[in-house]
Amino acid sequence: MNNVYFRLKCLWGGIIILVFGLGVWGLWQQKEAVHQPSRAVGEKICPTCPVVIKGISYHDVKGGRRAYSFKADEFKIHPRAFGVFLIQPIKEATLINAFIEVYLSTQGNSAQEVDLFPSSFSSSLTSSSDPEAKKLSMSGIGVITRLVFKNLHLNIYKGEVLTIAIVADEAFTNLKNKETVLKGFQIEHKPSRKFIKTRSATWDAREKIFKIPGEYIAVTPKGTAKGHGIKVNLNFKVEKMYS
Amino acid sequence: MTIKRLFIFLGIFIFLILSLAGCSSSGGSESSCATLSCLVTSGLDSLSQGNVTEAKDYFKAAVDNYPGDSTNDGDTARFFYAFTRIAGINLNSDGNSADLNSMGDILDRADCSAGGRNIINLELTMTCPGLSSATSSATIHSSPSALASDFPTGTQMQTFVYNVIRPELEAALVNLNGVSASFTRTWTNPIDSKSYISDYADVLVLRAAIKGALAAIHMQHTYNLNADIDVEVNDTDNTVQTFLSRNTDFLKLMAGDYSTSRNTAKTYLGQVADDLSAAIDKIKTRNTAAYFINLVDMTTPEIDDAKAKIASGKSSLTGQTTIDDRGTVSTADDIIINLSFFFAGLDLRALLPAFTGNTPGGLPDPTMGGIIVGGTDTNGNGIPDILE
Repeated sequence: MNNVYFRLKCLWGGIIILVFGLGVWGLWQQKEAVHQPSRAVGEKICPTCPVVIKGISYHDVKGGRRAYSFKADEFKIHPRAFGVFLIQPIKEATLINAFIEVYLSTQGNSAQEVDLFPSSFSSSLTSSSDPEAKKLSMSGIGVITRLVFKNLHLNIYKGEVLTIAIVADEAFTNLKNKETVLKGFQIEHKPSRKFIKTRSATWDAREKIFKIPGEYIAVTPKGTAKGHGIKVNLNFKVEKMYS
Repeated sequence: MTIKRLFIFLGIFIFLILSLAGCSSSGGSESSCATLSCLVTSGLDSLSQGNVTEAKDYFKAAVDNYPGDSTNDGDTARFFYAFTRIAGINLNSDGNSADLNSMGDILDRADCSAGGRNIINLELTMTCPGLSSATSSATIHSSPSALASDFPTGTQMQTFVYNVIRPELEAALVNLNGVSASFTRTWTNPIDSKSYISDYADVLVLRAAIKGALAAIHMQHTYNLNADIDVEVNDTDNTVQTFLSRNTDFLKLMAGDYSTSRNTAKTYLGQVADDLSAAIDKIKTRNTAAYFINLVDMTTPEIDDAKAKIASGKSSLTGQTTIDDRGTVSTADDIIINLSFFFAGLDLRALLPAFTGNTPGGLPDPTMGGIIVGGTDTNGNGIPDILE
């Protein structure tokens, strides 16, 4: 009897130890999973970036219809280089592989109200009319002076029809005057299959116009032409840059 | 660039230069400190809170009361006094804007509001209808209305920059020259509220910036930049052609011997190159994000390229230098310049193209007085040299 009782006691003890052991092992595994690095093996981290977001998207709906959207593979805030010198509190925000869609109304002059580049997105991180709130928001990040796009695609729709397609290798939006300089710039008017390529163009957010002060190449179904100094609006109306 | 935009740009540039006029204001609280250490610590505390004016007063007291101190506290005081006398602007009116001896006078003449000129938490709340409706210390960018009719002329601004700003910058340079190479200090900056280390590399970079500004001030001193700024800015139909016809001596060399100013500018620019190169070398020995200024995101080729460009820039001050080989083996497409002609005295007005409205014609001298030696269109026939 004692022997049976002893065996039962050992069995019961073994079950308790097994359950307890499984529990500890489970907790250990859970803890391991929590501490598993989310980034891929070998992926470089940015030691100077206070903010890095992989995969970001934003949509703006007005009056029940899509008005604006952008997405990017990566958004990060990092120190801005002056020459080669990085001054730690002076930052810039970078969007890598950015894709922007702007939907203009087919009625009225909605092009006059459009803000092509989401400058308010990054400036809102550190801007506030309240000085105390601004000081708090700057804390840990610093001052963001410009927005940088690496590999930018920008599509402009009239209603649901794609009318303008813009590509730039790089774009730099000055967050003070909202002016954007686009490098390796190409603008295409889809309905007429005309496009213009240039090394550098500027988006004037006030006049809602692209300015191409230097040389450009224009390609249309009728042929190719070179020139310099033009302005192009969002209806692809082209004017001389200088009066 | 339209004339209005040109002047807005000049206005911003001048504002930035003028902002260097850090005439000291008396805070009084520095008198509670009896030691150098107290003054330095209190100055850094004020700076971390964004009270630049108060910080400047502490550092000024530290430098004035302990001029020969060779400790790290002494170096800290000299470095941060130079730093804050540039950043700590006294914009307040002295009640007499006629003599143009302070930044406040310029703002008075621009009809800026008397209130809101103190920098608190890096913010200004003054309004300047002719320059901007500034709500941020770093912003002079809104569409101006009309600039006041008694706004200083180009010549008055030149005189102000030369007689008021230049001595202040030179004094900051004296402060920085007194900082030893062993200087190092951890401090909390008011921008992101984080602590970073500043060391002699920061001294070199700040010194280079000041010398660059001084070089610009000496060179502008040698040119006629006179124009009735408010008339030109307020003329909404203004063009480059109109502006140049109204100001026939603009960009001509000043009459008289200004060779000392030109040589001084050239010397300063050579020193800028030396300081920047030395700063890079120093930073490379301690390149981490713990330092206020660093090269952390830069690759070795980028750093080497920057040093090579700095060396080329310095060399071009005195003779013919290739500044860009366009990455090709051929030397036919190289961009070669020689800035010694600029520092010998170059009449920039004679080098301007004729303008119709804002549209420029061809350059009268494609070599720009000998500055451009090769790499572009040196014979001015409209066809790049490499295609001929």
